[in-house]
Formats: sequence, C-alpha cells, structure tokens
Amino acid sequence: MPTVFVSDAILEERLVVGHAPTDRVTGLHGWKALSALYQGSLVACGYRTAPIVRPEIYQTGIARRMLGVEPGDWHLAVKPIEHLRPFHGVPNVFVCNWPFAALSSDPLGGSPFFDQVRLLRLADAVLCCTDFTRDTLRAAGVERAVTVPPCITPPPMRERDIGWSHPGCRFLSIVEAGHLSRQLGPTIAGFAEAARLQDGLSLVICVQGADARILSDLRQSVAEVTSDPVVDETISIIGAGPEGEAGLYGATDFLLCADAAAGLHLPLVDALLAGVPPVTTLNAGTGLLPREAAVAIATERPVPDRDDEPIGRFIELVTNPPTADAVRDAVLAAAALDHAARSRMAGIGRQAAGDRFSLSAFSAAMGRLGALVSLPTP
Amino acid sequence: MTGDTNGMAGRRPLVVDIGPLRERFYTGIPNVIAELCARFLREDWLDLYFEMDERWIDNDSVRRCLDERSGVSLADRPERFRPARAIRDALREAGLMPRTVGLYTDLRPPRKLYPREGKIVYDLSMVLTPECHPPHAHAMFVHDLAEQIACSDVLFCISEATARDLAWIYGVGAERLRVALLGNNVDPTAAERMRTLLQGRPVEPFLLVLGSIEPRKNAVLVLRWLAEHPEVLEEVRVVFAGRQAWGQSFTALVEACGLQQALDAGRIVFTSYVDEAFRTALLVGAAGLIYPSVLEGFGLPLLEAMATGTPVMSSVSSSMPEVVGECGYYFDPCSVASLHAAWLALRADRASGAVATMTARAGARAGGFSYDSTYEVIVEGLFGLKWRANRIDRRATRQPPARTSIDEADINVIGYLRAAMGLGEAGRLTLRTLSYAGLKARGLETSLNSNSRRTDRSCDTLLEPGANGRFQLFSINCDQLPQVLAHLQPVLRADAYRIMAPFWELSNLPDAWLPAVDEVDEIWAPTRFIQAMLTKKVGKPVLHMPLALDFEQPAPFKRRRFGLPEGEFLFFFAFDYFSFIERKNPMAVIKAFKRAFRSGGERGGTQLVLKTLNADVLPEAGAALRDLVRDDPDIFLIESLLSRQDTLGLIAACDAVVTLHRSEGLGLLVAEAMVLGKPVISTDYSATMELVTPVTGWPVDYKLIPVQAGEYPFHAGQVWADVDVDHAAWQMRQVKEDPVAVQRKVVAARELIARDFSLGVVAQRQLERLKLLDERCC
Repeated sequence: MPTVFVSDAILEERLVVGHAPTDRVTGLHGWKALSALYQGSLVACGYRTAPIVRPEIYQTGIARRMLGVEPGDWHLAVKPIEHLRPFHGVPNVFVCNWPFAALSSDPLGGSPFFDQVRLLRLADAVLCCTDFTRDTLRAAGVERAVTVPPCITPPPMRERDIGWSHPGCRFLSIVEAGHLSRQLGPTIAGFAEAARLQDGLSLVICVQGADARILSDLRQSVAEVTSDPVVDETISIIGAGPEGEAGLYGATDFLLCADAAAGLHLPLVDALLAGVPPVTTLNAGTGLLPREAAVAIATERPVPDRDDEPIGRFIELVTNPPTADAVRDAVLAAAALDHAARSRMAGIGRQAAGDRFSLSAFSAAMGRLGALVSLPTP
Repeated sequence: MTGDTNGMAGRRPLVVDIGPLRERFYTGIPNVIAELCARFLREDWLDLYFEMDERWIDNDSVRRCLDERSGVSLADRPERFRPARAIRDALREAGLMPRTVGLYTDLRPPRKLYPREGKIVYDLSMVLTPECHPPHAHAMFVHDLAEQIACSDVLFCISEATARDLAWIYGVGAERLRVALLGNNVDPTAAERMRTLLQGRPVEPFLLVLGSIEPRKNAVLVLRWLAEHPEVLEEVRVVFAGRQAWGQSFTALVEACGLQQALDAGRIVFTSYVDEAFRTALLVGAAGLIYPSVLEGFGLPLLEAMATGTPVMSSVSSSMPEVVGECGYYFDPCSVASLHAAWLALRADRASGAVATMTARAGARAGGFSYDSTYEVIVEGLFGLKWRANRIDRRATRQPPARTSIDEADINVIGYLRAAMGLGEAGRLTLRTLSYAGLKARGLETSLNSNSRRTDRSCDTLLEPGANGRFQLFSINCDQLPQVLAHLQPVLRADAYRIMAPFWELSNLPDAWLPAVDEVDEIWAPTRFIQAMLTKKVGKPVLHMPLALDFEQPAPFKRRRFGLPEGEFLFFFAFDYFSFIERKNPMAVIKAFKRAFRSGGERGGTQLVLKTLNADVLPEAGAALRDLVRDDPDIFLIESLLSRQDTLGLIAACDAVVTLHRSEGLGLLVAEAMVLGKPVISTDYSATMELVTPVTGWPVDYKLIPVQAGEYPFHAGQVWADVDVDHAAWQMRQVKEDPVAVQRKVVAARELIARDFSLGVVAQRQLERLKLLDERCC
C-alpha cells in the first residue's frame, strides 16, 4: 500500500525548536483531533502514514528520494485552508472542514492564502468532512471536492466522576477554547434559565485546548450570567485535561451542542456513537443525523461570526446561532423525555453516525479517491 | 540621451532599480546585482538609468560602487542625485518611454511605470514560512507583493524552486516565469591565498555552519544534533559563523540544548559576523560545511563551498539540491536523525578518501554556474528572443546540441596529439582521461604552426579525421585557436559545444587573445593559476579542470644508459627551448647547484643533469648553454631526442628534480617527478604552487619583477618571479642531507597527486561537467 504523507503542523509548530501549539491559530485542537482520525482511518485501511512538517520545501527528485517517496504515494494536508501547502511531485489531497457558506476567491489583504477557492482548486482532491462543506466548495468552483469524513470509532464508555446530578438531566457541552463564542454562544444563559425553571439539571462544559486563564474567565462569565449561587452550582467548567474527553459520555444523558456554524463537530459524532442523544442546532447536525435522533435547538437569523477567524477580517462570515430562549426550551424538552424516548433517540443517532463514519464507508471513499488523484493535477 | 544624458539613437532604454547596491558590503544579493550591473554597463546597445531610493544614480557612481564592492559612496550627499522621477520625465520628453524597459532587483512599486517590466524574485520564504520571520518584516514584504507580481511582465526566479513557489502561490503562468540561476564568482585566488597561508599545516578538523542566527537558517538543528550526539564534538569542533539576526540568541539556543559546557570548552565556537576573508579562511580549513536552512531561494554559500573544495552537508530543502546536485551530503532540515546520517556518510568518505572525488565533482559543478547565464536569461526575458538572434553565437551562453547520430563521438579532443611537446602531451592526457571516463572520446590531430616533432603515436588509435561529436575540446592555446579553427573548419561540427583548455604562463591574459575566447563556450583551466588569470578578463565559465597525472611507470633504467655516474646524488632539470629559456631559467639552476655544492671548491658527490629539447632548432641558445657547462664535469647536458618513456626513465634514474622557473602554466616536470617519487625543489610561484608546498616539496622564495621586452611574448604589464638563488641552494642541500624529510614529503606529494590529480578523480570531474551540460541540453 502507498504511503500517505500527512501534514498538520502550523506556523511555530514547524520550527525545530518551538513546538508549543501556536496561539495564532484558533481551533487548533480540533484540527489535531481531525488529523489523528484521518491518520487512524488510513492505517486501518492498510495505508502507511508518515508525518511531514513542511511538505512544500521538498521540491526536487533528490528530496523526494531522501524521504523515500515512491510512485503511488500522496500527501494529505489536514489544517485550516490558509495554511495548506503542497508537496510538489506527489498528488495533494486537502482536508476541508470549512463551516461557512462564504468562500473567498481573492487574495484578501494581500495574502495569496486567503484566496481560498484558488488554493483548494490546486488540490488533486479535497476531502470534505460534511456534505455542507462539499456543497459550498463545489458551488464556488472547487470541483474535486468530495465528502469523505474520517472513520470514527465509539469513545470509551467508562464513567468519570465529574459531579453529575440525577439521570435524565445530565448535559454535557464540549467546546474548543478557540471557538467559545461560536460554539458556546447563548448556551450558558439558556441553560441557566432552564435550571431556574426546573430543579436537578446540571451542565458540564468541557473546554478543549484551554489554559487556566481561559477556564477562569469562563467560570467568571458563568457567575455573571447566572447571578444566582444555586444556579451557578448547576454549571461546571472543566478542561479536557490529559484524559481528553474519555469517560465523559458514560454518565451523560444529553450532549448540548449550540454550535452556530456548520462543519463537522467531532464531540457530536462521539456522543452519537456513544449513544448519547444530542440537543443541538441543526448547523452542527446538518446532514449528520435524522431529525428524530436529536432534540433540535431552533436558530435565528444569520449574524456575523464573532470568533477570531483570520479571514473574517476581510469577508463577512455569518453563523446561525440560537437564542438563549431556544436553548432553554430545548433543554427543558430534553429533560422531559423519558428513558425510553431517550434510548430510542440514541439508537437512531448511533445507527446514523455508525453508518456515516464507519471504516467501510471510509475505505470505499478511498477507493474512489484513487481514481480522482490519478487525473492530471489541476 | 543616455543615463548620463549623452545621446545615442537606437539604443534601448533600461531603467534598473538597484536598491540592493546600497549595502555596505557586496555579498549575497548585492553581489548578484553588482554582477548584473557590471554586464549592463558593458552593453553599447543599452541606454541605462539606475534608480535607488527614489534617486537617479548616475552610471559613474554605479561603476564606483562596483569597483569598491560597496555602496558606501552612495550615502555621501545623496542630495547630489536627481530625483528618480527625472528619469521618467527625460524619457517622456525624448519620446523614449514606449520603448523603455524596467528591471526591479528588489521590492517594486505596485503599479507599472514602464511598458515592459521585469522583477527578480529571490525566494518566497516570507510568504511560505512566516514563522521564520519577524512579524513586521513579514507584513512589510507581503502586503503588496501580489500587486508587485501582477504588474510585472516577467519574473526572474533564481531557482526552479522559487519559480515553482511563485506559480503555486500566486498562480503565475509559465509564460511570465524565467529561471535565472545565480553564478559562481568565487575568487579562486582567495582560497589559494588561504591555502598558502596555511602552508599545508594540519588544521584541527572542524565543521562550519554558515548563516545568520535566525529561525530560517535553522542553526538550532545542528545544536540539537550535537546535544543528541555529543561524541561528534569529541571528533570535530563546530564553528557557527554568522551574525545574530532575530529570534532566540545563539547563547540561549545553546543553553536550551544543554550545550553550554561545549561552548565554554571551545568545542562549539560562535564567531558572529565574519568578513569575506575570514569566511574564505574558514571554508578552506573546514572539514565540511553544514547548511541547515529551512528554505532558500538559491543557496550561494553552498556554491561557494563547492567552488572552494569544501564538502557540503546540505539541507535537502527548496532550491538547494539544484545547486548541489549529486555532489553533497543531504539531510532533512526537520530531522536530527537525517543530519546525523549525512555526517556519518561524510565521515566515512573522509576516512576512505572518497570525499576527494565528491569535492572534485562539486568543484566541476560549481564551475558551471555563471553570471553570464543569469544575465543572458534576464536580458532575453526583458527584451525578447529577437535580441538574442542578433548576437554573435558564442558570446552568449550556449548549450550543447542534441545528439544527431549514434555513430558520433561523445567528445572530440583537438590538439597537437602527436607532437613531442608539453601541450601535445596535455592533449593526449585529456583524450586518455575522457576515454577512461567511459566516453567515446576521439582525437583530431593538428600540427598547424607547430615546429615540434610529431613522434608520439600513443593516441593514434583514438584519432579520426574529423570531429562530429556534440562537444569539442581544444587543447590549443589562445594565440593559435582562431587559426586552428579556420584551418579545420571543414571537418569540425559547427554547432558543437566548444571547450578550450589553454595554457599561458604569465599572470595576465593578453587582450589580443580575447577573440579566441569568443570562439568557445567555456574554458577548462588546467591549473588554478590559469583559472585566476582567465577569470580576470573572461566572462564565460572558466572551470578548474586539472590534467590527470597518469602515465605508465617507466622501466628501470641504468644510469650508464645515459652516461650518468652511479653512486652520485643527481639533480635533474629539463626544458624545451621553445618554451623560452628566459622563463625556464636553467641558469638559475646551474647557479644554485654551484652555490650549494661548490662552496670551498668541494664537489661533494653531487651532480646536475640538464635535459633539453629543440636545442638544434634554436642553435644559438643551445650553444650558449653548452658553452656555460662545457668545462664543468659535474653538469651533464643531454640534448638528444628521447621518447616519453625514456624521459620518464631519466627522471626516475635521478635523485631529485629542481626547477627555478620564472613562471609556469602547468609544470608537467614537477608533476611527473612527484608521481615518480622524486623530491622536488621549485619556485614558489604560479602553477607549481599547487603541487609544491612545504608539505610536499621544497618551495623556493622569489621576488616579482617585470618581464622585459624580448624575454617573453606580450611582456607589457607582466611580471614573473626572480628566484632567490641562495634559498634554492639551501633547499637543494636540504634535499641531499635530510633523507627523513625527503621520505615524508615524497609520500605527501604522492598522496596529493592521488587525491587531486589521479586519472579516476579527473575523469570523474570531467564526466560530471559534461553530464551537467547534457542535463541543461535536455
């Protein structure tokens, strides 16, 4: 089987000294997780994978020989669009998880890497994590966009004691430190309102990639929003820690996902595979699951994205966030479900996610990809 | 109107932005621009205007900068220069604007100023590796680069890698891209001077890391390597030469890698900025250059090291393999393990001696990079192909033609291939070496204007009546080449790539011979002395391509065969009267011999053998020498014509060779003596310096004196060596009286020959060069 050279390092990560995650890239944690999933999927399909930090610098036959590149090998880049770089002389496949409907087709701010459409069109294939992203890319003229999410296996189901309340009312939100505004939005306010109306609800917000300062700030903002010690106690903020999200799903009744943007939300998939039904906006769930597999959070009119997306300085990126009232209503609706309804919902979700993110689906997609990358490079 | 406001109708106006020439020292990019400007200034068809920092710099001021290799003079009263807009005004007033071409050698305005414009692009590391640059520098470089690129009609990239990056990142089409590889303008004499200063003394082995201390240059990879492999520092020191630029300081990096102790102990050395002389000295002495850069537009230090004969351990990134080819030890700039593997490979080659082959190949490759080629690409790109069509063919850089028949030779050597003379022997050696390299090499013999006897038939089996190969190598000197070409024209393939391997014994090439240079595409200089002499005046590639010092060992001869006494210590000297007795200077040999061994009237069991050639053709000179030695029973004069084997046998039968020439282009006698294991005493000047050093022989002091009228052709402005006869006598006595030193130096001399002049090494060097030319052709 061929070797797939995988590049997922960004900016300072690429220096020989200075491997600390860069603070110039938001959502880095999610990209690393996505990269690990694609690599695991490839290995499971029999490919060899090899990391490559700076694919663009190996331009000559001598360089490729030194790296052991053989005919049939290819390059997979898993990183934000503006950080994509080619590996000259081998097919280049880019992973794209763009969660907005707008794409730039100009070198905005003078940066050629902000001409997203041109950059993506240079790829031999673009693996989109969702149909939403694929459709966005194709509409913009990126014809080699295909939906190929990675294979995702169910997370471990052991329980982790994080101070839950009683069954049926335990909610979990998993968000990224770089996307708090987009992913958390009105969650706290909405849940606090629900907690005021119904006893026994609890919410654990797990922040990926957070340092102590971020967690402290977030706890402070929870206190400000709830302004009620009793309600305040219903919401816990934790960092993902070295254990990651392992064990969080074991005692969770619902994943609360109020993501305002589309794109693949990995915790949502994990939750579905773990049999935890989501309470989610349709942004995050679009195309992933049947309506009956989730408690939907209604969204309002589009608003400008408030996260620090680099290209957002030049083009308007819009999201569809829910209101706090919509979160509150959805939480209350979920809490009102009995065990049987919850189990039915979980079963539908698990089935849907299992089909979509299975190894066989990924393997079949890889077969089709072979034909795509054998075409002349754009 | 011209850049200096003198008119000349029909010339093409060219406005060159020369921003890089403001630098204090012309290294790197300023050096590149200086090379280009020097060539622009030589063109009589160009109407030149130079612009820098919004000022119109007059041509004389630019010439001064080029002479001084510095832009310091431009900083003096900048207000004396007119504003640059005056260039545009003048061109408009003269109605020349529609024909004007602009060339930007650095940043350019993001709008067009002239109808056709070109821009030189060095690298896109600011764009590709922003983490390697200070944020403000990155922002300044990148903010309008897209516009700069968009409004340039043609973009000159200094490597394929840069062109590829430009195409991928900015979508520039191939029709706007030109690859203008940089040239090699390493002064071979600078390295030689350093070697001379070293005088063959052993240098404690050290590895050199060139480059400023900044993330892109990646010195930290080397430090991490040393931290993981401390045993390396027990074997070699590692010297980091380069200024502290930005990012973590060198000392901080050392500390972070836990190497403070090695720094304190001097096993790691940080020189900070080094000037050119120091840099050359470091390169000459280094066991290897490590160049770990993350990304380069070209990699001039690599080329410099290759030209200097220093093995290179090179990052495999971006353009660097384009420079180094298969002549270096590569590593991945992101991998310590890979760097270690490269070191182990170099270390093994150093131990086995294979590194000499590698550096020989690298030297040949480096010689192929010429600023003439760079210039040619740029001028073509700016003015179009039509301009080139009007030029004389071989003044431009050419490529070898394609093969037209399977029967044709790979290369034809044209020369005095039967003549019993040095140049004839050089041609035969070249022919044999090329054959040894596995090439289908064929000879074409000429005797035009040669008075030498055509008695050597050793290469007859390789001779053909014509030259149909794609390469022609002329073992002919500059003074004769045009006539030989005219004479052989009917049997020479017209479009062949022509190489000349000339000899000239003095340090300046006569201007009268420059037309000969225009008849060939490149020159193979048999010695560094000749290379240095040619590069002073010749703009095309001049490669150092030594002759292979390889010949069949002569059968043992009894001295009595030549009438020489057994049991005496015999010094030997030979020369050809055609080579000018004033230059060969046998009188000095006789004087030194007498001074060494006749003081006090004692004979001391030492005798001198003088072998001459063509005394009968120049009878007066022959008679003068005969008269001089007639009454001396210890000086033997042999004037008979000997075969080559007999001549070598004669050398072998003697005990030492002495030559007190005034200047040599090659010094074949010295080389032959060394191969035969004879101690050699020689004037420490010109080509023989390459062979006779204090380690390998007994160099003799001298002073330079002007060449007088009648002593040698084209004497005007030439100098040569007047040997110190007393020192020569002293050295001759040393040779006779110190057999231990003789033994040591003879072995060292043989090692030198084997390392640099063996048939295999030279054949490989020639093959490498021809392959490189072939690659370009294809």
